[in-house]
Amino acid sequence: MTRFASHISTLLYAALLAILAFVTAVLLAAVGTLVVDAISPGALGAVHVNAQALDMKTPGVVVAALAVMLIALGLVWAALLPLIQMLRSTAAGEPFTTANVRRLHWIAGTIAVAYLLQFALPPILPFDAQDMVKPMGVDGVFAILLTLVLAQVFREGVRLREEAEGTI
Amino acid sequence: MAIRINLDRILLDRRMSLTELAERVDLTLANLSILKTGKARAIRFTTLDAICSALACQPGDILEHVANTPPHD
Repeated sequence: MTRFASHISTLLYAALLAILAFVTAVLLAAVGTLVVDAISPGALGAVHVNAQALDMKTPGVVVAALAVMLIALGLVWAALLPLIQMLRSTAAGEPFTTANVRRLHWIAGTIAVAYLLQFALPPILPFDAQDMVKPMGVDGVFAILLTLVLAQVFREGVRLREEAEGTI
Repeated sequence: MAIRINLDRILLDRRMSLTELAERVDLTLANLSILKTGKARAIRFTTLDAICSALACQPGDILEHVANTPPHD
C-alpha cells in the first residue's frame, strides 16, 4: 500500500472507532438516564427535564424506549464492526477475501433490517415512544444497493486475486 | 489440466537442476515447483521467454496439450 493510502486507512480507522465509541456512549448514556430516571425520578436533576419532555412516564414507554435504543446500538455495532475488520484486512494487504465479501453482505443485511424496522417498529410501540424511530428514507435503499454492488465487486476481486496467485 | 508441463524431461536432457533453473530465470524455487508439478493456473510470456532462453528450447518442448482430460476445478 502507498504511504498516502495508508494514511487515509489510518484516518478512516480512527474515524470509525470514534463514531462507534461516540454512538455507543450517547446511546448507553441515554439508556442509563432512562433507567435511573425510571427508578428514582428527579435523581438526575436537569437531565430529568429531557425525559419529561419525551413524556416517558408509564413503564411501557420506558421499556419501549430502552428496547429501541438497544436495537439501535446493536445495529450500529453490527454495521460498523465488519467495516473496521475490513479496513484491518486491507491494511494487512488482504482486501479481496471471501471473508470481506461475507462482511459486505452482512452490512447490507443489517441496513436492510434497520430499514424494515423503521416501518415494523412504530405500530407496535406505545404512542409516546413512536417518535424515537427516525425514518431513513431513500438513503437506506441506496446504502443497501451500494453495499451489495461493492460485495459483487469484492467477489470478482477474490477471483482475480486467486487467478493472479496461480500465475507464474 | 489439459495442458501438461514437461519441464522435468527438458531439465533431465539439459542435466540442469530445478534450483539452477530458478536462479537463471530469476524465479523462486517454490513458484518453479508449482509450474513443474502442473499446479499453476497460468504462465506469463516473460516467464516462458526466460525459461526457453535458459534451456535453449521452444515453448512446445515444455508445454503439451493433452486431449480429453478434465480441466482443473
